[in-house]
Amino acid sequence: MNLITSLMILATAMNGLLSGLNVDTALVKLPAHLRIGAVAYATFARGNDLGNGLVVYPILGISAALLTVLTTVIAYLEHSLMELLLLLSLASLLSLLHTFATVRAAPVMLSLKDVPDDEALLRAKLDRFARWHAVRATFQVLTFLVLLWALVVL
Amino acid sequence: MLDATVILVVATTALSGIAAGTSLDVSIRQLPARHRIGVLAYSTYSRATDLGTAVFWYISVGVSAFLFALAAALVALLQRVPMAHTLPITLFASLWVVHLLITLIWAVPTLPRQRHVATDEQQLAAIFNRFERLQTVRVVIDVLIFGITLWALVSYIS
Repeated sequence: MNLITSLMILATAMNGLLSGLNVDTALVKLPAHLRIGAVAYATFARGNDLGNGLVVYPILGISAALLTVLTTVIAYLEHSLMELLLLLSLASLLSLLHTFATVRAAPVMLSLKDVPDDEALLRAKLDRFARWHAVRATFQVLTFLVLLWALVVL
Repeated sequence: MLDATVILVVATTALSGIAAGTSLDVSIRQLPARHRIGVLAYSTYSRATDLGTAVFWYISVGVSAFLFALAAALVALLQRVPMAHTLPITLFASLWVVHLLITLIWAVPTLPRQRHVATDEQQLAAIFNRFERLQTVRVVIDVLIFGITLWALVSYIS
């Protein structure tokens, strides 16, 4: 197994796990704030996103993006097939877009730590976070699917 | 390279990756949150997701991945593909069967029990501790399955 193949498998694995984490948050966790109210959800988020989430998300997010970009750079340096280069470039672009959306979403979640338990205030913040999270989850799942496609054409 | 088996393996890999990430999130972020916020607050969240999109989402992903895995194994056997491909395909299909059995027999009935104990912190803690043990087994299987699906995919790279 050569370097490109090894890196692609690692990048696909990290992006796959991050996709599952993102989709679960978008489809299962965040909609719960509409049922239990913003204050109850913010209490959960302070234990979840601002608990182990402060370690888990950055580790997965940064390593997935770095591995994707590194794989692309090495594929260019090794003059890989054009089809593979295009797919890896697309995956890198999507990964960077995911990072950009995370840069917009993360401060909203982090700010929950200091916001008082005010339903309207928390609802506005959670709605804003949900919008940016939907964007980053979409980019993340697309990155994973493009990397899978790249593995098939390898 | 793009025959029926490969397409089924790719589909299983995509769904298994999503399932493994979801499972990791439950084990590493969600369940430990109860120690920070208390079981009562955690139960409020848990019951909301239990009755919400979680039911539809987890069943859709789990059952789809399971069916794709079984179909991949069946097609691989019918096409008599080489052992290098059949071994990982059979392994991930078998693990999906084990996962589904653990989920249906033990995990699924556990969380709904919180509705019967309402605000009893001790009983809620016992329910979540039991679910956490089952979830630990499931997350190990989920990550193993995802790894093996990637192994199956790589076995097709010449």
